[in-house]
Amino acid sequence: MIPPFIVSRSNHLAQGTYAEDVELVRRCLENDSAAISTLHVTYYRRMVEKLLYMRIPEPQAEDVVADVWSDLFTGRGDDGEPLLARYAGKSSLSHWLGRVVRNRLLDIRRRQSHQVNIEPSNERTFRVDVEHRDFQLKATIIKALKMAFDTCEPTAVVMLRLVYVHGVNQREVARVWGWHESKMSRYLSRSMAFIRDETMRRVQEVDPGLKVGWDDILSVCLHDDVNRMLDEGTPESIEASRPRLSMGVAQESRRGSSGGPEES
Amino acid sequence: MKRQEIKSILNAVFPIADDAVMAYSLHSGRPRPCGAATDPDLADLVDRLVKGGMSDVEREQACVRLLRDEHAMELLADRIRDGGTSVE
Repeated sequence: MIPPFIVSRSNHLAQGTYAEDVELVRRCLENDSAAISTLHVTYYRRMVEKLLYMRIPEPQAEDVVADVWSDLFTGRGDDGEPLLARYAGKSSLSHWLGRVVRNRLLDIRRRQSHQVNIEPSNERTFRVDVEHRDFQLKATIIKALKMAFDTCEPTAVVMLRLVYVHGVNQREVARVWGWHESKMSRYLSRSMAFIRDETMRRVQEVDPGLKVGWDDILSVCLHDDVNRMLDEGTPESIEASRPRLSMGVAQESRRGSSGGPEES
Repeated sequence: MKRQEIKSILNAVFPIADDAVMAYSLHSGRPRPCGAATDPDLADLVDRLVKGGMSDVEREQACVRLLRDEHAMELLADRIRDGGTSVE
């Protein structure tokens, strides 16, 4: 008999671009041994290699993947829902599994970093400490993002907000600036690449040992009450590394302009 | 980077002011300018930007000012959407 959560989850799986992945997952969730074997042959080693690429020693990478692999089918926590059931077909299965192992690695590292503070008689203090550190990590990410935008060209920020927040047609915005649409498209892409790289750099500056990927940063933006975090104090280490940077893009649009944005 | 991802990042970094949310038009579902309309300097700046004729430096300086005021961004968005451009 198929557990109810498998039926309900399967019904919600997208039937789009990643239909083959979705179908494979559905069969795995129904304990189809051939499908599970295919999943193992296709992805298990890739998951290990994902961690090796992040410079994780192979024995540790194997442990992490083995841990994740078990949860893919048995789940964690009280509900017992297999982790695999969370795959919704919104990205390739390979990409999704890669994110799962990376997130698991981050979880393990966070737990390890907190374990040194555990005292048997002080569990409540430990829990508060973990929550505080997790909050601080997320606040650090958001602050780094905000500062990346501060160092970005004002024109780029205005255009990005017009297009992606206010929903203005990209062609119409380009026309105001007298640009061709393709030029603007390239400019916005380069600007977001700058934001990504600058944010990652600033996060790494705060904690060089921290392995935070861009997906983790996106996750914070998507799921957390980030505005509340912005009201918190900025970590000093980030504030200290706050020189205005030249983005190095769209110089063609800045004839006669030099350095950072000028105050009017 | 996907459109939704960029939007999430921007929403996280530039939260819409509460009064701007309240001012969302029921008709269009778009934020309507309220504060900027009462600030003649910003409204004029938006007009000049949309009508064109500014140099690159002037445009960049205008962007710096606009970014300080959420309402001005809304006003600019509305003016562009409403076809206020005359740059051809």
